[in-house]
Amino acid sequence: MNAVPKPTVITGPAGTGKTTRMMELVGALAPTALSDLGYQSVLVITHMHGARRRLEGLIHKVHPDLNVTVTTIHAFALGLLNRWRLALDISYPIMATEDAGGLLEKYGVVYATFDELISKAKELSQFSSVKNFISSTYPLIVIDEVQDCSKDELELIDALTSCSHCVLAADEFQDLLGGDAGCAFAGWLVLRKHKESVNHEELVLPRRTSDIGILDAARALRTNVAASGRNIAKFWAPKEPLLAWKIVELVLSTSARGRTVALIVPSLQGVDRIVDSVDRQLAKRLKRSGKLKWLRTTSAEYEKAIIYKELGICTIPSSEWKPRPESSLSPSGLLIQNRAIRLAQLRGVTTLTMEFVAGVVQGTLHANRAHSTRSGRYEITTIHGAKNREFDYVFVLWNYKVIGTEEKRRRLLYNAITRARVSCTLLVQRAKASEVINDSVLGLLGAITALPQKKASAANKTRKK
Amino acid sequence: MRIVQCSITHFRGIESGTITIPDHGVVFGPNNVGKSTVIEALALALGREQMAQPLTDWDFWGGEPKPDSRATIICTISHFAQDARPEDFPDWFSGERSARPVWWDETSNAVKIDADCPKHCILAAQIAFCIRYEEDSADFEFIRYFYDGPGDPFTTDCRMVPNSVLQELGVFILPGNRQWDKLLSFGSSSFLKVLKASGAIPGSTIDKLKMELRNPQNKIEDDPSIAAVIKSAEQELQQFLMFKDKAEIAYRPTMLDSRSVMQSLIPHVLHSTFLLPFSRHGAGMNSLQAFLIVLAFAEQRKQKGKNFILIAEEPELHLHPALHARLANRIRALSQQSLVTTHSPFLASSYKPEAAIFVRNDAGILEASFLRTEPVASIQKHAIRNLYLRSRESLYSALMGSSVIIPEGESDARWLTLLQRMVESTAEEGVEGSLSIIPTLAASVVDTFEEIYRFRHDALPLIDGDPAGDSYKSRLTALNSPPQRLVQYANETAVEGLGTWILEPCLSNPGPVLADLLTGQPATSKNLFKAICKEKSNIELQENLIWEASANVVSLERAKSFVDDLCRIAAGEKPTNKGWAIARESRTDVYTATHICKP
Repeated sequence: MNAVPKPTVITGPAGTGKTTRMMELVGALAPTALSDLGYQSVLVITHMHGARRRLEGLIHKVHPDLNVTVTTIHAFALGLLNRWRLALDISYPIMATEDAGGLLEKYGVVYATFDELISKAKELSQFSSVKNFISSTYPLIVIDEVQDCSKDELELIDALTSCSHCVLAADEFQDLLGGDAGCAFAGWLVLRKHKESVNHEELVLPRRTSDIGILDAARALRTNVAASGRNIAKFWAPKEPLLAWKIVELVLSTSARGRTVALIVPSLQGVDRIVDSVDRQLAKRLKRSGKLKWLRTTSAEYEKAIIYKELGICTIPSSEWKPRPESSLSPSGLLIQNRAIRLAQLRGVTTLTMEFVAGVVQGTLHANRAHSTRSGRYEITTIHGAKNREFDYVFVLWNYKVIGTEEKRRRLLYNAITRARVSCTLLVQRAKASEVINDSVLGLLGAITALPQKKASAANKTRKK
Repeated sequence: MRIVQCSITHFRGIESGTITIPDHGVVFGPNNVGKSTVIEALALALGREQMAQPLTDWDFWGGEPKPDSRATIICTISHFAQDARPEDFPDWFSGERSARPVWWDETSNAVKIDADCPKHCILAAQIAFCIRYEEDSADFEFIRYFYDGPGDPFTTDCRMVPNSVLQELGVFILPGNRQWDKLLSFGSSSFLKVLKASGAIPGSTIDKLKMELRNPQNKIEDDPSIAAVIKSAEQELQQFLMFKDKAEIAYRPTMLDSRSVMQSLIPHVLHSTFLLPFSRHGAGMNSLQAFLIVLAFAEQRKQKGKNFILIAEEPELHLHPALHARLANRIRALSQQSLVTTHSPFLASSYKPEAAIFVRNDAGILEASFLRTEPVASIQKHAIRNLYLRSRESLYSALMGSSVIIPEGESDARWLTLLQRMVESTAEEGVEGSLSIIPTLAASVVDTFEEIYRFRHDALPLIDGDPAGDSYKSRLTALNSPPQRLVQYANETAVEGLGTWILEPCLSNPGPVLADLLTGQPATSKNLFKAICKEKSNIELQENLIWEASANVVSLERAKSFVDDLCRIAAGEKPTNKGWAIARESRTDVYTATHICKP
């Protein structure tokens, strides 16, 4: 193997153009890294399927002639594992599962959790055959959102840096998943810089937005120093309709024509109330049915829970599962039920157990996420779901359900606010003013306007205050 | 690049089995053991051609495929190059759709699945072929993929083998049933393939031929005898077609497009004075054609430095036995690797025992073993070495037979052979089975049995009834793997007793040879016996005696009965002659021919 170049690490706050810079580097490095023989490609690794799809779209736009493979880190690990599974004493093909894994063989496959996938892939990455395969197949590897990597995942990435030229993009402050140990990436970067085995590019210039308000708010949350000026528009109210009115205002304004609008929430629970309120108010104003088409990126958990309920999957894994009557199922539920029955037939599984069918559900939903590309003008998404994305107008709904350490809440709010290009509005839902004032995270952003009662609609009068 | 091993699971008559394939090898064994199944398996897994026969239920073990039934063939390819590493062969091992490198251990003939190369192993790849049955449409689906481990390729991800890889491997299959006269004609896809691969399609000549055919010197329609009929037909045609121009009818030898012209060309052989089409030649001439193509193709590939692996079923068909060995030599000379199946002991014996694979099928479990794994020169025991050197053809022939007999020595073998020939050539109905006689050397029946047992568990030793014979018997029955059955002549009797028993009926009316033998003595069994014993090594005399005796109905009957009974005993059935006594000694059934005793 030729000497592998030092990895290039791009860091910077949200909106400083890390992804753009990554694309630039790919364009610059790929022509020399990839030979003309078609079997090589640029490997792009992300964490979530949403990010994967968007990055794939972006790369095809910017570098349409380039051989690129975009995958999640777990899919990459799974592919590697399945190829070399015999070397790890595993016979049957491996399937990822969210339930019990343990590398146990059942129904003709071996179940592994995501963590187990990474851990085994790490084992494999020590072998020179595997390293040679990676470096000859993927001479250039790009990894986004490295701050989200667990310790094991980072070790796997470290192994990759010894195989191929790697470009890593990260922002420590955007690590929403990190535990008490903090971000594994931060420590890794420090070590590397100390050993001078990394090219570090720090981006500072904000590119996503030029709106001073957003920039000020973002800086305040990041540095934990209160913002000096007005920064972004902030409102609070105890109940949804008042907050919903702000959204309605924007929708009706001409400036929002043709622009993307996102409602970003910490969790999807309770978001329906605000959406219903928006629809009702729009209907009143426009004197016609004013339902907006909100594209909801439902969480995987939510989707799975629905299907589990439909198919009657209970928590005892080995108990027998019986098919449901077709008339009682939704189209996707029916599809998954038929798929499970068919798979059992093809694999010679005589008794369908709960865990077998659960596996089919997970696999189907996973595959759907991996391949569907939907985006709309109006989107509702969680903060996790909004990672690495941008929208013209952003409403951040900050309701009383947000929990966690102060650091975590700062990061969440930072991540949410930095999605905006044109403007960002913070909508806080609290029962009392005291709750608003005493919130240290909100305090960094300055005074929050209490929303008054609406004179136009008596139904929107709040009962207290 | 060569195929080093092939594993077959649930395919046709093989439940499971693995065969290690040498550089140039021959596969032989009794009938119906799975030799052509092995060839078909290799053809399916590695052959590029569209399958000649569609898949059927019978391609699955048990013949009743269920939705989860799978027939799987796994081929291991190795010998990529000296000190080959995966990086040196990127079209095999690099890229997302590539194979994962495995390692071949030549000393233990095993595939190693470590991630990195173990000591003393060489680079290898595994290609698998899997078939399943789709109940709903009664149809079959197959997939050829790079093998990563067990698992169902139809319900889990797998990487298909690209055609370029198969082309690089260059496997050429010559199946057992061949269509002779089509092979060298332009209608044959194999022929066209060879031509295309060599850039040898005679395009410009075809064009010229087309022109000639369009406007031949002799036009049928101009012949005066037919002209009148043609003219009236043309007039009718004119009325119906409403052409402005005149419509004329013309006859040509074929449709005038390139393809039709090519297909209309029939191959002939130009002898010194006449032209005879291939199809009118004998089968032997035609079967040679098959090899002309194959050898031409092989030569092509060799010149271009490309890989060529030939797998052929019974290449000796329709060929004179004297040519079999020559054929084998040509095949070996022109290919990187060759594997043939055969029924010809001549062809088989042109392969060294280290390259000869004997195949056995035990209720679906295929066992394929090399006859020997070390060179013949290193065999210690002379009797065994003799089997593989001087008597190789007889040995191979015997191994392929249905009833394998191991006599005590050469004279026993001779008498038995004579009897067999006597029965086969004169008996009207013939005998049920036929004996395959191992050329045992004197005093080596036990060693010989042990060696033959490696391939034929049903081998039947034939022992004299004398003390020496008894000692052989005890040694045989005391072996770890003793014979299932054993035949012995009556007390104190050796093979001369057999001869006497056969010739006895002739004593009442002796022919000249017999009379000559008994010169001056009364024609009694005792004297006959003594005379035969005296002429133990007179081979010519024995032949003449037997030949003369074939005219005697009773002698013939006795010979038939004996040969027939040996066949039955060898097959584990009961012999017909009442004179057989059956006893059990340890784990062996001993059949004593009490009717054949020293007078």
